[in-house]
Amino acid sequence: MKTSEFEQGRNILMGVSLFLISFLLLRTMYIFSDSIIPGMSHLYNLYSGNIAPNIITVILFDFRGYDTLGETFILITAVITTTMVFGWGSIKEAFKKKESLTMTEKSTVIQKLTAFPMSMLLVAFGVTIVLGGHITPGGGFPGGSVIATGYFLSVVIYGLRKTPFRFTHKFLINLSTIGALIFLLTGVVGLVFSAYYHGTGYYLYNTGVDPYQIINIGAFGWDNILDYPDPTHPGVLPYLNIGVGFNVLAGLSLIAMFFMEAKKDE
Amino acid sequence: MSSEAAALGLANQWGPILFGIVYGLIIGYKIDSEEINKAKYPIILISALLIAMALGTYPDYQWKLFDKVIRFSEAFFSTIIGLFIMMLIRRQ
Repeated sequence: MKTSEFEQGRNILMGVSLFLISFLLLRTMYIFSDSIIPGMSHLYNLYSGNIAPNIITVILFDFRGYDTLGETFILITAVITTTMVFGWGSIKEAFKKKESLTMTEKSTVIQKLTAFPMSMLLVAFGVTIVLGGHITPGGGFPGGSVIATGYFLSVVIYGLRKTPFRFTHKFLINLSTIGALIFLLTGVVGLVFSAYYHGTGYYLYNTGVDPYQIINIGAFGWDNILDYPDPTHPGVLPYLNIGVGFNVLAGLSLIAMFFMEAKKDE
Repeated sequence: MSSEAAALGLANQWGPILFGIVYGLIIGYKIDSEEINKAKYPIILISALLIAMALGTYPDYQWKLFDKVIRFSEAFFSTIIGLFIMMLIRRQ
């Protein structure tokens, strides 16, 4: 296949860019090996208990903080993809669709009576998992999923139009964005404060616990104003869970909503 | 935190209560308040109380009142309270 001059030039440009990026990445990795202090991992394991209340939280938000951040944005990407595939035009409500009664007609009286109380209890249980995420193997992701399950139960039983949970696209998109921003900005707080006081910034630094004694902003009887008020003193970790919880509950509810709307188009 | 509350073991417990209510208020803002009625109020409240008692097994989150350990998940119950508060406000 003959390629045009424009495509040839673009391929050359792509090749040169790839070579440059590869060279820089490999060089950075080579230099980085000089900065590694032997035994640092052992030291960290000794002191990690001062940063978070237990080893699960240390792994989840300190060893794998960026992983959790990545998961948050993977979810946003999944929601965008689902919107484009199944919810085409439904965000701006370009198409006024007719209510389909196929789901609601199948619901029995017992289902209709119990679904709403069950949904409320599921929402509360999800919030419990979110808020206990730093002391149990829970967290924002499973908690948000349970809350979205409560919404989905209600939608399946009552139908999208008659459900007591009147979530709108705009509300869920705002909630998802706020959740992701809470996570990002909490990380930036650590970056800014530790850079200001210590010279080097640490993204997702636990400013509420402050293991290096960099920030000592006390108020209202607290040692540190950013510390989450509970007996375990986990710092900013519950706020990260709360942000992820908002993001996941809104993202999964949006996906459920788009699936239901896609059903109506048939 | 007052000294009485600290003596009762209630000091620093209000983080999950506060954020449970915040979560409840935010989600309750979008719940249709007409759905709730005199029959469903007590059912949800009593169920919530029982589930909260069953969930209150976190060692750091148990309440101490007069040297008695009270197993109660304040995050769970405060979320239900937050949902009800917002539904009542929306009904007005």
